[in-house]
Amino acid sequence: MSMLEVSGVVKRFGGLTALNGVELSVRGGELVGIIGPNGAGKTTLVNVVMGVYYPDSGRITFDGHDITRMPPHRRAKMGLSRTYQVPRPFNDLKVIDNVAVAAMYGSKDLPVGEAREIAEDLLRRVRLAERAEDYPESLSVVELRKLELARALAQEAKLVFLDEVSAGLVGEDLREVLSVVRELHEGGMTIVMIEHVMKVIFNLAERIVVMMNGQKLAEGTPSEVSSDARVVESYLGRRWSEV
Amino acid sequence: MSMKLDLGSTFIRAIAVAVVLAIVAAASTIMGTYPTLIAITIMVFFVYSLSWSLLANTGMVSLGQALFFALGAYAYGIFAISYGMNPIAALFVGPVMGALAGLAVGFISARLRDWYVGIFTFALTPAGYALAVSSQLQPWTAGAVGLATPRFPLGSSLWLPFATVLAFAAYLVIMIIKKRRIGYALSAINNDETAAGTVGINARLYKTIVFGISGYMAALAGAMFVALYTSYIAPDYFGYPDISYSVWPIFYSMIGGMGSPEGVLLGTVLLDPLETAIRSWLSGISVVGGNLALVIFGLLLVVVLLKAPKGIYGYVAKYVESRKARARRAAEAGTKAEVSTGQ
Ligand SMILES: Nc1ncnc2c1ncn2[C@@H]1O[C@H](COP(=O)(O)OP(=O)(O)O)[C@@H](O)[C@H]1O
Ligand SMILES: [Mg+2]
Repeated sequence: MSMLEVSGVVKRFGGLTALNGVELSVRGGELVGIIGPNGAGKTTLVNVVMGVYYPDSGRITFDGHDITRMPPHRRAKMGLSRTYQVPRPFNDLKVIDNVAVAAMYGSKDLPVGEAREIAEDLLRRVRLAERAEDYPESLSVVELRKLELARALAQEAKLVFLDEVSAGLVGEDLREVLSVVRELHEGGMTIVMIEHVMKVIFNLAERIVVMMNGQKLAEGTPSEVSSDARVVESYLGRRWSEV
Repeated sequence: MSMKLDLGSTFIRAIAVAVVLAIVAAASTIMGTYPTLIAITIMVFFVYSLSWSLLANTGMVSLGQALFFALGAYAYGIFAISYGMNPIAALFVGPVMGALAGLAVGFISARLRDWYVGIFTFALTPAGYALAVSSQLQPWTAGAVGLATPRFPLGSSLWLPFATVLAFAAYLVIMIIKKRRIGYALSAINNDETAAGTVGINARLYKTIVFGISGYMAALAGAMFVALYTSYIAPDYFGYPDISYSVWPIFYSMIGGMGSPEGVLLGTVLLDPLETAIRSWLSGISVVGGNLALVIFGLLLVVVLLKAPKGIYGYVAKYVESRKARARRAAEAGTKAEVSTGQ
Protein backbone atom coordinates (compact mmCIF):
# COMPACT_ATOMS: atom_id res chain seq x y z
CA MET A 1 0.00 0.00 0.00
CA SER A 2 1.25 3.44 -0.75
CA MET A 3 2.19 5.91 1.96
CA LEU A 4 0.89 8.97 0.15
CA GLU A 5 -1.97 8.93 -2.28
CA VAL A 6 -3.02 12.06 -4.16
CA SER A 7 -6.04 11.53 -6.40
CA GLY A 8 -7.86 13.89 -8.70
CA VAL A 9 -6.59 17.00 -6.94
CA VAL A 10 -7.72 20.31 -8.40
CA LYS A 11 -6.51 23.67 -7.12
CA ARG A 12 -7.55 26.96 -8.71
CA PHE A 13 -6.28 30.46 -7.99
CA GLY A 14 -9.02 32.70 -9.32
CA GLY A 15 -9.23 31.86 -12.99
CA LEU A 16 -5.94 29.96 -13.05
CA THR A 17 -6.02 26.19 -12.59
CA ALA A 18 -2.70 25.39 -10.95
CA LEU A 19 -3.52 21.72 -10.38
CA ASN A 20 -5.88 20.03 -12.77
CA GLY A 21 -6.64 16.54 -11.51
CA VAL A 22 -3.21 15.46 -10.28
CA GLU A 23 -2.53 11.84 -9.40
CA LEU A 24 0.48 10.88 -7.33
CA SER A 25 1.27 7.78 -5.37
CA VAL A 26 4.36 7.38 -3.17
CA ARG A 27 5.33 4.13 -1.45
CA GLY A 28 7.16 4.00 1.85
CA GLY A 29 10.94 4.18 1.44
CA GLU A 30 10.78 5.44 -2.12
CA LEU A 31 12.70 8.36 -3.60
CA VAL A 32 10.45 9.96 -6.18
CA GLY A 33 11.50 12.84 -8.36
CA ILE A 34 9.09 15.42 -9.72
CA ILE A 35 10.20 17.52 -12.63
CA GLY A 36 8.46 19.99 -14.83
CA PRO A 37 8.85 23.51 -16.18
CA ASN A 38 8.25 26.62 -14.14
CA GLY A 39 4.59 27.08 -13.35
CA ALA A 40 3.79 23.38 -13.84
CA GLY A 41 2.22 23.22 -10.39
CA LYS A 42 4.97 21.35 -8.50
CA THR A 43 5.10 23.73 -5.53
CA THR A 44 1.32 24.00 -5.43
CA LEU A 45 1.15 20.21 -5.18
CA VAL A 46 3.44 20.34 -2.13
CA ASN A 47 1.34 23.13 -0.62
CA VAL A 48 -1.83 21.13 -1.05
CA VAL A 49 -0.30 17.98 0.45
CA MET A 50 1.06 19.99 3.41
CA GLY A 51 -2.23 21.83 4.00
CA VAL A 52 -1.07 25.34 3.12
CA TYR A 53 -4.12 25.30 0.83
CA TYR A 54 -6.99 22.89 0.73
CA PRO A 55 -7.77 21.54 -2.75
CA ASP A 56 -10.96 22.53 -4.56
CA SER A 57 -11.60 18.88 -5.22
CA GLY A 58 -9.81 15.56 -4.98
CA ARG A 59 -8.51 13.53 -2.10
CA ILE A 60 -5.21 13.11 -0.25
CA THR A 61 -4.44 10.20 2.04
CA PHE A 62 -1.32 9.65 4.12
CA ASP A 63 -0.64 6.41 5.99
CA GLY A 64 -4.21 5.39 5.24
CA HIS A 65 -5.78 8.52 6.76
CA ASP A 66 -7.70 11.10 4.78
CA ILE A 67 -5.76 14.34 5.33
CA THR A 68 -7.44 16.42 2.60
CA ARG A 69 -8.73 19.00 5.10
CA MET A 70 -6.50 18.35 8.07
CA PRO A 71 -4.75 21.43 9.55
CA PRO A 72 -1.02 21.67 8.68
CA HIS A 73 0.37 21.13 12.20
CA ARG A 74 -1.44 17.81 12.47
CA ARG A 75 0.07 16.67 9.18
CA ALA A 76 3.48 17.45 10.66
CA LYS A 77 2.63 15.31 13.69
CA MET A 78 1.68 12.47 11.35
CA GLY A 79 5.12 12.62 9.79
CA LEU A 80 5.06 15.00 6.84
CA SER A 81 7.64 17.73 6.32
CA ARG A 82 8.84 19.96 3.51
CA THR A 83 11.33 22.60 2.50
CA TYR A 84 10.19 25.85 0.98
CA GLN A 85 11.51 26.68 -2.47
CA VAL A 86 11.63 30.34 -1.43
CA PRO A 87 13.14 30.04 2.07
CA ARG A 88 10.86 31.03 4.95
CA PRO A 89 13.08 31.22 8.03
CA PHE A 90 11.94 32.41 11.47
CA ASN A 91 13.89 35.66 11.58
CA ASP A 92 13.73 36.24 15.34
CA LEU A 93 15.25 32.85 16.08
CA LYS A 94 18.93 32.02 15.69
CA VAL A 95 19.84 29.57 12.92
CA ILE A 96 20.20 26.75 15.45
CA ASP A 97 16.83 27.56 17.01
CA ASN A 98 15.15 27.64 13.59
CA VAL A 99 16.13 23.99 13.32
CA ALA A 100 15.53 23.20 17.00
CA VAL A 101 11.96 24.50 16.98
CA ALA A 102 11.16 22.03 14.17
CA ALA A 103 12.62 19.22 16.27
CA MET A 104 10.58 20.40 19.28
CA TYR A 105 7.26 20.37 17.45
CA GLY A 106 7.72 18.08 14.42
CA SER A 107 6.62 14.47 14.48
CA LYS A 108 7.62 14.19 18.17
CA ASP A 109 7.36 16.58 21.10
CA LEU A 110 10.91 17.11 22.31
CA PRO A 111 12.28 19.33 25.10
CA VAL A 112 14.46 22.33 24.24
CA GLY A 113 17.80 20.74 25.18
CA GLU A 114 17.34 17.58 23.15
CA ALA A 115 15.98 19.54 20.19
CA ARG A 116 19.04 21.80 20.19
CA GLU A 117 21.36 18.77 20.13
CA ILE A 118 19.53 17.39 17.10
CA ALA A 119 19.76 20.83 15.49
CA GLU A 120 23.52 20.99 16.07
CA ASP A 121 24.01 17.62 14.39
CA LEU A 122 21.88 18.58 11.41
CA LEU A 123 23.66 21.90 10.94
CA ARG A 124 26.95 20.03 10.84
CA ARG A 125 25.52 17.63 8.25
CA VAL A 126 24.48 20.43 5.92
CA ARG A 127 27.70 22.36 6.58
CA LEU A 128 26.05 25.28 8.33
CA ALA A 129 27.42 24.70 11.84
CA GLU A 130 29.54 27.84 11.94
CA ARG A 131 26.42 29.95 11.39
CA ALA A 132 24.49 28.33 14.26
CA GLU A 133 24.49 31.41 16.49
CA ASP A 134 23.69 33.89 13.72
CA TYR A 135 20.28 35.14 12.67
CA PRO A 136 18.80 34.11 9.30
CA GLU A 137 18.86 37.70 8.03
CA SER A 138 22.64 37.44 7.68
CA LEU A 139 22.58 34.21 5.64
CA SER A 140 23.21 33.95 1.90
CA VAL A 141 20.59 32.35 -0.36
CA VAL A 142 22.61 29.14 -0.46
CA GLU A 143 22.85 29.06 3.33
CA LEU A 144 19.11 29.68 3.62
CA ARG A 145 18.45 26.65 1.41
CA LYS A 146 20.60 24.53 3.65
CA LEU A 147 18.71 25.88 6.65
CA GLU A 148 15.44 24.86 4.98
CA LEU A 149 16.80 21.36 4.52
CA ALA A 150 18.03 21.08 8.12
CA ARG A 151 14.72 22.37 9.47
CA ALA A 152 12.67 19.90 7.42
CA LEU A 153 14.87 17.01 8.55
CA ALA A 154 14.72 18.03 12.21
CA GLN A 155 11.05 17.06 12.27
CA GLU A 156 12.07 13.40 11.90
CA ALA A 157 9.27 12.95 9.41
CA LYS A 158 8.36 9.79 7.52
CA LEU A 159 8.00 11.65 4.23
CA VAL A 160 9.80 14.82 3.25
CA PHE A 161 9.22 17.02 0.22
CA LEU A 162 12.35 18.76 -1.00
CA ASP A 163 11.25 21.68 -3.18
CA GLU A 164 14.27 22.57 -5.32
CA VAL A 165 16.73 22.32 -2.42
CA SER A 166 19.65 22.03 -4.76
CA ALA A 167 18.84 25.20 -6.71
CA GLY A 168 21.80 27.57 -6.69
CA LEU A 169 24.11 25.09 -5.00
CA VAL A 170 27.44 24.25 -6.66
CA GLY A 171 30.60 22.29 -5.93
CA GLU A 172 31.09 20.95 -2.43
CA ASP A 173 27.75 22.35 -1.18
CA LEU A 174 25.82 20.55 -3.92
CA ARG A 175 27.68 17.27 -3.37
CA GLU A 176 27.12 17.54 0.38
CA VAL A 177 23.38 18.21 0.10
CA LEU A 178 22.93 15.38 -2.42
CA SER A 179 24.86 13.00 -0.22
CA VAL A 180 22.60 13.94 2.69
CA VAL A 181 19.58 13.13 0.54
CA ARG A 182 21.13 9.80 -0.49
CA GLU A 183 21.94 8.91 3.13
CA LEU A 184 18.41 9.73 4.22
CA HIS A 185 17.03 7.53 1.49
CA GLU A 186 19.35 4.69 2.42
CA GLY A 187 18.23 5.15 6.03
CA GLY A 188 14.68 4.38 4.88
CA MET A 189 13.14 7.83 4.63
CA THR A 190 10.54 8.45 1.97
CA ILE A 191 11.52 11.41 -0.18
CA VAL A 192 9.81 13.39 -2.88
CA MET A 193 12.37 15.56 -4.58
CA ILE A 194 11.28 18.37 -6.83
CA GLU A 195 13.81 19.66 -9.28
CA HIS A 196 13.74 22.08 -12.11
CA VAL A 197 17.07 20.87 -13.47
CA MET A 198 17.05 17.15 -14.25
CA LYS A 199 20.70 16.24 -14.03
CA VAL A 200 20.53 16.13 -10.25
CA ILE A 201 17.51 13.90 -10.02
CA PHE A 202 18.23 11.38 -12.75
CA ASN A 203 21.01 9.80 -10.73
CA LEU A 204 19.05 9.75 -7.48
CA ALA A 205 15.39 8.97 -8.09
CA GLU A 206 13.97 5.51 -8.68
CA ARG A 207 10.88 6.92 -10.26
CA ILE A 208 10.23 10.24 -11.92
CA VAL A 209 6.97 12.09 -12.36
CA VAL A 210 6.83 14.77 -15.02
CA MET A 211 4.35 17.58 -14.44
CA MET A 212 3.03 20.03 -16.97
CA ASN A 213 0.15 22.54 -16.81
CA GLY A 214 -1.11 21.21 -13.48
CA GLN A 215 -1.20 17.60 -14.62
CA LYS A 216 0.95 14.52 -14.67
CA LEU A 217 2.43 14.28 -18.14
CA ALA A 218 4.44 11.09 -17.69
CA GLU A 219 5.82 8.76 -15.07
CA GLY A 220 8.46 6.03 -14.94
CA THR A 221 12.09 5.21 -14.30
CA PRO A 222 14.56 7.93 -15.28
CA SER A 223 15.42 6.12 -18.51
CA GLU A 224 11.76 5.53 -19.40
CA VAL A 225 10.95 9.17 -18.78
CA SER A 226 13.88 10.50 -20.74
CA SER A 227 12.91 8.39 -23.76
CA ASP A 228 9.19 9.21 -23.56
CA ALA A 229 8.28 10.98 -26.76
CA ARG A 230 5.84 13.42 -25.13
CA VAL A 231 8.34 14.39 -22.46
CA VAL A 232 11.16 14.86 -24.88
CA GLU A 233 9.00 16.93 -27.14
CA SER A 234 7.31 19.14 -24.60
CA TYR A 235 10.00 19.48 -22.02
CA LEU A 236 13.32 17.71 -22.28
CA GLY A 237 13.81 18.61 -25.91
CA ARG A 238 13.87 22.26 -25.11
CA ARG A 239 15.93 21.87 -22.00
CA TRP A 240 18.30 19.06 -22.82
CA SER A 241 20.92 21.49 -24.00
CA GLU A 242 20.79 23.33 -20.72
CA VAL A 243 21.11 20.19 -18.58
CA MET B 1 8.32 42.89 16.14
CA SER B 2 11.62 41.34 17.01
CA MET B 3 12.34 39.33 20.11
CA LYS B 4 15.95 38.80 19.28
CA LEU B 5 17.84 41.89 20.37
CA ASP B 6 18.73 40.80 23.86
CA LEU B 7 21.71 41.86 25.88
CA GLY B 8 23.47 39.38 28.13
CA SER B 9 22.34 36.16 29.73
CA THR B 10 18.91 35.62 31.22
CA PHE B 11 20.20 35.71 34.79
CA ILE B 12 22.12 38.97 34.39
CA ARG B 13 19.12 40.53 32.66
CA ALA B 14 16.79 39.52 35.51
CA ILE B 15 19.20 41.00 38.07
CA ALA B 16 19.44 44.22 36.08
CA VAL B 17 15.64 44.52 35.90
CA ALA B 18 15.34 43.84 39.64
CA VAL B 19 17.91 46.57 40.33
CA VAL B 20 16.13 49.10 38.09
CA LEU B 21 12.77 48.37 39.73
CA ALA B 22 14.32 48.63 43.21
CA ILE B 23 15.97 51.96 42.34
CA VAL B 24 12.68 53.37 41.03
CA ALA B 25 10.93 52.25 44.21
CA ALA B 26 13.62 53.47 46.62
CA ALA B 27 14.24 56.81 44.93
CA SER B 28 10.55 57.69 44.76
CA THR B 29 10.02 56.70 48.38
CA ILE B 30 12.80 59.06 49.43
CA MET B 31 11.35 61.83 47.26
CA GLY B 32 7.94 61.73 48.97
CA THR B 33 4.29 60.75 48.72
CA TYR B 34 3.52 62.02 45.22
CA PRO B 35 6.57 60.42 43.54
CA THR B 36 5.70 57.20 45.41
CA LEU B 37 2.26 57.23 43.78
CA ILE B 38 3.86 57.82 40.37
CA ALA B 39 6.17 54.87 41.00
CA ILE B 40 3.15 52.68 41.76
CA THR B 41 1.68 53.64 38.37
CA ILE B 42 5.02 52.73 36.76
CA MET B 43 4.77 49.23 38.24
CA VAL B 44 1.12 48.92 37.17
CA PHE B 45 1.78 50.10 33.63
CA PHE B 46 4.85 47.89 33.31
CA VAL B 47 2.67 44.84 34.02
CA TYR B 48 0.01 46.22 31.68
CA SER B 49 2.47 46.95 28.85
CA LEU B 50 4.02 43.49 29.19
CA SER B 51 0.55 42.01 28.69
CA TRP B 52 0.21 43.98 25.45
CA SER B 53 3.70 43.19 24.12
CA LEU B 54 3.24 39.47 24.81
CA LEU B 55 0.37 39.54 22.32
CA ALA B 56 2.23 41.75 19.86
CA ASN B 57 5.19 39.35 19.89
CA THR B 58 2.81 36.55 18.92
CA GLY B 59 1.60 38.51 15.92
CA MET B 60 -1.56 39.95 17.49
CA VAL B 61 -2.01 43.70 17.89
CA SER B 62 -4.63 44.39 20.55
CA LEU B 63 -6.28 47.79 20.27
CA GLY B 64 -8.67 47.02 23.10
CA GLN B 65 -6.41 45.84 25.90
CA ALA B 66 -8.36 48.05 28.31
CA LEU B 67 -11.17 45.49 28.16
CA PHE B 68 -9.06 43.17 30.31
CA PHE B 69 -7.63 45.98 32.42
CA ALA B 70 -11.14 47.16 33.34
CA LEU B 71 -12.44 43.61 33.84
CA GLY B 72 -9.66 43.06 36.38
CA ALA B 73 -10.47 46.33 38.11
CA TYR B 74 -14.20 45.56 38.34
CA ALA B 75 -13.71 41.92 39.33
CA TYR B 76 -11.38 43.05 42.12
CA GLY B 77 -13.88 45.65 43.34
CA ILE B 78 -16.98 43.46 43.04
CA PHE B 79 -15.33 40.49 44.75
CA ALA B 80 -14.14 42.73 47.59
CA ILE B 81 -17.36 44.74 48.01
CA SER B 82 -20.30 42.56 46.97
CA TYR B 83 -18.82 39.24 48.02
CA GLY B 84 -16.73 40.36 50.99
CA MET B 85 -13.55 38.76 49.71
CA ASN B 86 -10.27 39.84 51.31
CA PRO B 87 -8.89 42.48 48.91
CA ILE B 88 -5.51 40.76 48.81
CA ALA B 89 -7.20 37.57 47.61
CA ALA B 90 -9.45 39.56 45.26
CA LEU B 91 -6.36 41.12 43.68
CA PHE B 92 -5.26 37.70 42.46
CA VAL B 93 -8.63 36.01 41.98
CA GLY B 94 -10.30 38.92 40.15
CA PRO B 95 -7.89 38.75 37.19
CA VAL B 96 -9.07 35.20 36.52
CA MET B 97 -12.02 36.96 34.87
CA GLY B 98 -9.50 38.68 32.60
CA ALA B 99 -7.93 35.31 31.79
CA LEU B 100 -11.32 33.81 30.90
CA ALA B 101 -12.20 36.80 28.74
CA GLY B 102 -8.72 36.55 27.19
CA LEU B 103 -9.26 32.89 26.29
CA ALA B 104 -12.60 33.73 24.67
CA VAL B 105 -11.24 36.73 22.75
CA GLY B 106 -8.13 34.70 21.88
CA PHE B 107 -10.18 31.80 20.55
CA ILE B 108 -11.71 34.18 18.00
CA SER B 109 -8.60 36.30 17.39
CA ALA B 110 -6.57 33.18 16.59
CA ARG B 111 -8.89 32.71 13.62
CA LEU B 112 -8.48 36.28 12.36
CA ARG B 113 -5.67 37.56 10.21
CA ASP B 114 -3.52 40.66 10.70
CA TRP B 115 -5.35 43.86 11.51
CA TYR B 116 -8.72 42.16 11.99
CA VAL B 117 -7.47 41.29 15.48
CA GLY B 118 -7.01 45.01 16.16
CA ILE B 119 -10.47 45.89 14.89
CA PHE B 120 -12.07 43.05 16.82
CA THR B 121 -10.42 43.89 20.15
CA PHE B 122 -11.09 47.60 19.66
CA ALA B 123 -14.77 46.87 18.98
CA LEU B 124 -15.13 45.05 22.29
CA THR B 125 -14.33 48.04 24.50
CA PRO B 126 -17.65 49.90 24.02
CA ALA B 127 -19.39 46.63 24.92
CA GLY B 128 -17.44 46.53 28.18
CA TYR B 129 -18.38 50.11 28.92
CA ALA B 130 -22.04 49.40 28.13
CA LEU B 131 -22.03 46.48 30.57
CA ALA B 132 -20.45 48.61 33.30
CA VAL B 133 -23.13 51.31 33.03
CA SER B 134 -26.06 48.99 32.36
CA SER B 135 -28.95 49.20 34.80
CA GLN B 136 -29.11 45.41 35.24
CA LEU B 137 -25.58 45.30 36.59
CA GLN B 138 -25.94 48.52 38.58
CA PRO B 139 -26.15 46.67 41.94
CA TRP B 140 -22.61 45.40 41.39
CA THR B 141 -20.98 48.11 39.27
CA ALA B 142 -22.73 51.23 40.58
CA GLY B 143 -23.21 52.26 36.96
CA ALA B 144 -21.78 55.50 35.64
CA VAL B 145 -21.03 56.72 39.17
CA GLY B 146 -18.32 54.12 39.58
CA LEU B 147 -17.27 52.00 42.53
CA ALA B 148 -15.31 53.19 45.54
CA THR B 149 -13.26 50.29 46.89
CA PRO B 150 -12.25 49.51 50.48
CA ARG B 151 -8.78 50.36 51.69
CA PHE B 152 -6.18 47.79 50.68
CA PRO B 153 -5.34 45.86 53.87
CA LEU B 154 -1.59 46.46 53.88
CA GLY B 155 0.23 49.36 55.53
CA SER B 156 0.41 52.08 52.89
CA SER B 157 4.21 52.12 53.11
CA LEU B 158 4.07 48.58 51.74
CA TRP B 159 1.99 49.38 48.66
CA LEU B 160 4.90 50.38 46.47
CA PRO B 161 7.13 47.44 47.52
CA PHE B 162 4.17 45.13 46.89
CA ALA B 163 3.60 46.62 43.42
CA THR B 164 7.32 46.32 42.69
CA VAL B 165 7.35 42.62 43.57
CA LEU B 166 4.33 42.03 41.31
CA ALA B 167 6.02 43.91 38.47
CA PHE B 168 9.13 41.77 38.81
CA ALA B 169 7.00 38.62 38.95
CA ALA B 170 5.30 39.65 35.69
CA TYR B 171 8.74 40.18 34.13
CA LEU B 172 9.82 36.69 35.25
CA VAL B 173 6.67 35.16 33.74
CA ILE B 174 7.54 36.73 30.39
CA MET B 175 11.16 35.53 30.61
CA ILE B 176 10.08 32.00 31.52
CA ILE B 177 7.69 31.92 28.56
CA LYS B 178 10.50 33.10 26.26
CA LYS B 179 12.98 30.49 27.42
CA ARG B 180 10.63 27.51 27.36
CA ARG B 181 9.42 25.44 24.45
CA ILE B 182 6.37 27.68 24.11
CA GLY B 183 8.59 30.74 23.61
CA TYR B 184 10.18 29.25 20.48
CA ALA B 185 6.72 28.49 19.13
CA LEU B 186 5.55 32.05 19.77
CA SER B 187 8.53 33.52 17.89
CA ALA B 188 7.90 31.16 15.00
CA ILE B 189 4.21 32.11 14.90
CA ASN B 190 5.09 35.80 15.02
CA ASN B 191 7.56 35.49 12.15
CA ASP B 192 5.68 33.17 9.80
CA GLU B 193 2.50 31.46 10.86
CA THR B 194 2.34 29.27 7.76
CA ALA B 195 5.88 27.95 8.23
CA ALA B 196 5.16 27.48 11.94
CA GLY B 197 2.24 25.23 11.02
CA THR B 198 4.48 23.30 8.64
CA VAL B 199 6.89 22.41 11.44
CA GLY B 200 4.03 21.19 13.64
CA ILE B 201 3.09 24.23 15.72
CA ASN B 202 -0.61 24.65 16.50
CA ALA B 203 -0.74 28.43 16.07
CA ARG B 204 -4.42 28.78 16.99
CA LEU B 205 -3.97 26.92 20.25
CA TYR B 206 -0.90 28.94 21.24
CA LYS B 207 -2.52 32.23 20.29
CA THR B 208 -5.53 31.37 22.44
CA ILE B 209 -3.33 30.42 25.40
CA VAL B 210 -1.26 33.59 25.02
CA PHE B 211 -4.42 35.70 25.04
CA GLY B 212 -5.45 34.00 28.28
CA ILE B 213 -2.11 34.81 29.91
CA SER B 214 -2.19 38.35 28.56
CA GLY B 215 -5.77 38.77 29.80
CA TYR B 216 -4.71 37.76 33.30
CA MET B 217 -1.74 40.14 33.30
CA ALA B 218 -3.75 43.09 31.99
CA ALA B 219 -6.49 42.38 34.52
CA LEU B 220 -3.93 42.14 37.32
CA ALA B 221 -2.64 45.56 36.26
CA GLY B 222 -6.22 46.89 36.41
CA ALA B 223 -6.75 45.40 39.88
CA MET B 224 -3.39 46.82 41.10
CA PHE B 225 -4.33 50.22 39.67
CA VAL B 226 -7.49 50.27 41.78
CA ALA B 227 -6.14 48.56 44.90
CA LEU B 228 -2.90 50.49 45.21
CA TYR B 229 -3.58 53.79 43.44
CA THR B 230 -7.11 55.06 42.75
CA SER B 231 -9.36 53.13 45.24
CA TYR B 232 -12.04 53.85 42.66
CA ILE B 233 -13.30 52.11 39.51
CA ALA B 234 -14.85 54.04 36.63
CA PRO B 235 -16.53 52.69 33.46
CA ASP B 236 -14.05 54.61 31.32
CA TYR B 237 -11.30 52.18 32.40
CA PHE B 238 -12.71 50.15 29.50
CA GLY B 239 -10.98 52.56 27.15
CA TYR B 240 -14.29 53.99 26.01
CA PRO B 241 -15.12 56.75 25.19
CA ASP B 242 -11.57 57.81 26.13
CA ILE B 243 -9.26 55.40 24.28
CA SER B 244 -6.20 56.28 26.35
CA TYR B 245 -6.42 53.20 28.61
CA SER B 246 -5.94 51.00 25.54
CA VAL B 247 -3.30 53.21 23.99
CA TRP B 248 -0.73 53.80 26.76
CA PRO B 249 0.60 50.22 26.84
CA ILE B 250 1.06 50.43 23.06
CA PHE B 251 3.03 53.68 23.31
CA TYR B 252 5.18 52.50 26.22
CA SER B 253 5.98 49.16 24.58
CA MET B 254 6.68 50.47 21.10
CA ILE B 255 8.74 53.49 22.10
CA GLY B 256 10.75 51.54 24.68
CA GLY B 257 11.16 48.50 22.45
CA MET B 258 8.52 45.79 22.56
CA GLY B 259 10.88 43.07 21.36
CA SER B 260 12.15 42.51 24.87
CA PRO B 261 10.67 43.03 28.36
CA GLU B 262 13.62 45.30 29.20
CA GLY B 263 12.59 47.61 26.37
CA VAL B 264 9.05 47.68 27.72
CA LEU B 265 10.44 48.55 31.16
CA LEU B 266 12.55 51.33 29.69
CA GLY B 267 9.53 52.75 27.87
CA THR B 268 7.36 52.65 30.96
CA VAL B 269 9.94 54.17 33.31
CA LEU B 270 10.65 57.03 30.88
CA LEU B 271 7.17 57.73 29.62
CA ASP B 272 4.78 57.11 32.49
CA PRO B 273 6.10 60.02 34.61
CA LEU B 274 6.31 62.14 31.46
CA GLU B 275 2.67 61.38 30.69
CA THR B 276 1.63 62.46 34.18
CA ALA B 277 3.68 65.65 33.90
CA ILE B 278 2.28 66.58 30.48
CA ARG B 279 -1.25 65.81 31.59
CA SER B 280 -1.07 67.96 34.73
CA TRP B 281 0.72 70.76 32.88
CA LEU B 282 -1.83 70.77 30.04
CA SER B 283 -4.84 70.48 32.33
CA GLY B 284 -3.96 74.00 33.52
CA ILE B 285 -4.36 75.21 29.95
CA SER B 286 -7.19 73.12 28.59
CA VAL B 287 -9.81 70.58 29.62
CA VAL B 288 -8.64 68.27 26.88
CA GLY B 289 -5.22 67.86 28.50
CA GLY B 290 -5.37 64.07 28.45
CA ASN B 291 -6.07 63.94 24.73
CA LEU B 292 -3.31 66.45 23.98
CA ALA B 293 -0.94 64.17 25.87
CA LEU B 294 -1.99 61.38 23.50
CA VAL B 295 -1.22 63.60 20.52
CA ILE B 296 2.22 64.43 21.87
CA PHE B 297 2.98 60.75 22.51
CA GLY B 298 1.71 59.85 19.06
CA LEU B 299 4.20 62.28 17.52
CA LEU B 300 6.95 60.97 19.80
CA LEU B 301 6.16 57.44 18.66
CA VAL B 302 6.48 58.42 15.01
CA VAL B 303 9.80 60.18 15.59
CA VAL B 304 11.27 57.28 17.58
CA LEU B 305 10.09 54.61 15.15
CA LEU B 306 11.50 56.51 12.17
CA LYS B 307 14.92 56.57 13.81
CA ALA B 308 14.68 53.26 15.67
CA PRO B 309 12.05 50.83 14.36
CA LYS B 310 12.66 48.51 17.30
CA GLY B 311 12.31 51.22 19.90
CA ILE B 312 14.92 52.85 22.11
CA TYR B 313 16.10 49.59 23.66
CA GLY B 314 16.24 47.87 20.29
CA TYR B 315 18.40 50.71 18.98
CA VAL B 316 20.85 50.43 21.88
CA ALA B 317 20.93 46.63 21.72
CA LYS B 318 21.63 46.68 17.98
CA TYR B 319 24.50 49.12 18.48
CA VAL B 320 26.06 46.94 21.19
CA GLU B 321 25.54 43.78 19.09
CA SER B 322 27.20 45.28 16.04
CA ARG B 323 30.20 46.39 18.12
CA LYS B 324 30.51 42.89 19.56
CA ALA B 325 30.27 41.36 16.07
CA ARG B 326 32.97 43.74 14.82
CA ALA B 327 35.24 42.75 17.70
CA ARG B 328 34.58 39.05 16.98
CA ARG B 329 35.40 39.46 13.30
CA ALA B 330 38.58 41.31 14.17
CA ALA B 331 39.59 38.53 16.55
CA GLU B 332 38.87 35.86 13.89
CA ALA B 333 40.88 37.76 11.30
CA GLY B 334 43.74 37.90 13.80
CA THR B 335 43.70 34.14 14.35
CA LYS B 336 43.64 33.45 10.62
CA ALA B 337 46.59 35.74 10.04
CA GLU B 338 48.53 33.86 12.74
CA VAL B 339 47.72 30.50 11.14
CA SER B 340 48.82 31.60 7.68
CA THR B 341 52.08 33.15 8.87
CA GLY B 342 52.74 30.06 10.98
CA GLN B 343 52.85 27.77 7.93
N1 LIG C 1 -0.74 31.59 -4.06
C1 LIG C 1 -0.93 31.69 -5.38
N2 LIG C 1 -1.80 32.59 -5.88
C2 LIG C 1 -2.00 32.69 -7.21
N3 LIG C 1 -1.38 31.94 -8.11
C3 LIG C 1 -0.49 31.02 -7.68
C4 LIG C 1 -0.22 30.86 -6.29
N4 LIG C 1 0.70 29.86 -6.16
C5 LIG C 1 0.97 29.44 -7.40
N5 LIG C 1 0.27 30.12 -8.32
C6 LIG C 1 0.30 29.91 -9.76
O1 LIG C 1 0.09 28.55 -9.99
C7 LIG C 1 0.90 28.07 -11.06
C8 LIG C 1 1.76 26.94 -10.56
O2 LIG C 1 2.76 27.48 -9.73
P1 LIG C 1 3.80 26.58 -8.94
O3 LIG C 1 3.06 25.49 -8.26
O4 LIG C 1 4.60 27.48 -8.08
O5 LIG C 1 4.68 25.99 -10.11
P2 LIG C 1 6.10 25.30 -10.07
O6 LIG C 1 6.48 25.06 -8.64
O7 LIG C 1 5.93 24.04 -10.84
O8 LIG C 1 7.04 26.24 -10.77
C9 LIG C 1 1.69 29.27 -11.54
O9 LIG C 1 1.03 29.83 -12.66
C10 LIG C 1 1.66 30.22 -10.37
O10 LIG C 1 1.74 31.55 -10.80
MG1 LIG D 1 8.09 25.65 -7.56
